[in-house]
Amino acid sequence: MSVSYWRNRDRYFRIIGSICNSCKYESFPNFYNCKKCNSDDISDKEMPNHGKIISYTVSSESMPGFEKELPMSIGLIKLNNNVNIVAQIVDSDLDDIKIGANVKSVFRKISSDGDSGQIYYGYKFKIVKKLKK
Amino acid sequence: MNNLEIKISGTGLTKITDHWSHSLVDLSVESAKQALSESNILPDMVIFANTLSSYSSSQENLSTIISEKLGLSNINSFKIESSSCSGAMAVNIAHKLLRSNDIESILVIGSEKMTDLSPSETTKATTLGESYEYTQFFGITMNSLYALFSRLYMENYNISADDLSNFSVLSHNNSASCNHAQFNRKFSLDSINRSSIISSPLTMLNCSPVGDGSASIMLSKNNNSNFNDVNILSSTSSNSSIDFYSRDNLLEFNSTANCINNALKESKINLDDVDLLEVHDVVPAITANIIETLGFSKPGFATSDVISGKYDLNSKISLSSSGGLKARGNPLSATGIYQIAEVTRQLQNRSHVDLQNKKIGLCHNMSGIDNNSVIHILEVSN
Repeated sequence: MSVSYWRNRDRYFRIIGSICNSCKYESFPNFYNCKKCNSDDISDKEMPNHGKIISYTVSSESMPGFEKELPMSIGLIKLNNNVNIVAQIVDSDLDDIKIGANVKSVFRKISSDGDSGQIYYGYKFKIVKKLKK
Repeated sequence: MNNLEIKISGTGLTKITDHWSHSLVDLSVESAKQALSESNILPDMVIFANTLSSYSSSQENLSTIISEKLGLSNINSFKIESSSCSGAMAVNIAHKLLRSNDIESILVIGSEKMTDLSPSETTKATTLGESYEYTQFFGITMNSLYALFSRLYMENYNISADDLSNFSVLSHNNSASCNHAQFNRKFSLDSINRSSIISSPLTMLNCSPVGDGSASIMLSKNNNSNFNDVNILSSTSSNSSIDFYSRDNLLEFNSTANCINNALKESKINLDDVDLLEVHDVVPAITANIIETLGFSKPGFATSDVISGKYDLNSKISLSSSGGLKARGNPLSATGIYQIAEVTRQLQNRSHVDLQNKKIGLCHNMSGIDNNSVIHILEVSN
């Protein structure tokens, strides 16, 4: 996994998607031809760090290497630029994970190659609550 | 395109279960031999549909291996991969080749070996069709994506997870007497809703199961079998996009919509003419959205339609009459060929249930959440 991880490190660390320089359409993951105007004049674009949950699930099954994450909360998040992303929700009470909840991205360990191998990092999201006055 | 009719002149199915003592090749040979025997044809070509063999069996080049085991050497053979619609895609390609070529017959075999893997490896295997970088890397499973879609569907139409489970009740009612189905038993609505949670709101008995299986069909220009002709009225496919969450309208199934539009044009039938319906019923909200996209129910009304009995076995239109993905089982690349083989046998009045006056069947097979879809419309001539 190391090479593909290295190749995608910017996307994982800073949530880099794409913007069409012709019609300004933005999307994540990145694209090569604009889905709206089919232009191939595309640049990388860092996505916003805040958004709202529009769907969520709590998973009881895991892939190899993710057993310790169970139960794993996952959100479908609409970012503040209206681009959607799917990501794990961490550091949050299960009761607070609901449709409409505000979230922000955080930098976290994703997985590792055993106890002494490479550690992989990337984005996850957490619930942000408004401070009580 | 010319109007040459292509026939399904042979079918073969293995039971879907944990085949501990059978390899991917063993299962493929078993279903293929049935189809060869029924058809009384030696094919000009073999197409093998599969998506997991590299991961689950450390094997590729299977079209050559299986053809040799069947004694079918010196012919054209190859593999088609298109995730969980590989089976129907292989039939679609075979249909195109037969209509544009001087070859007379093609044997299509779809097989999947899923139970040689550990449970967590199987979870990964079922997610191989999604973008690796944005799902597997983060440990996000296929059932989690289905769950995210399910909650969107439920919120949009204000339908409860408990009501959606009626699709699973129907599937299990229909598979109870179907010998090759993975589940030969019924489940009550309550037991489905109270089964353990896989990925909320999806319970275990709402998710299509993991099993090994193989299905084969012979496509040919002439029918040498002892059964009535079943003609392919249309075979259409259309892709959409891979990451469902990045679509503008998250409930829009564009590949299914394109496919059915083309299918109705090509077959010259109306939806009202369909007697047997097989859809990619992998979890209930997906089933409902497919049925609504195809046009059999109005948007948001598939669940109330299934509750009212519109899709029961003995109704005008029977849904998943062998149990569908949920109860017959879902050995990924074999699934689309199971659908076609089952509908063929039912149209020929030789299935597990006696369904009278069924003339036309429609089979819808797709990969991921409407990534890619294939529709076949079949008609029996008496």
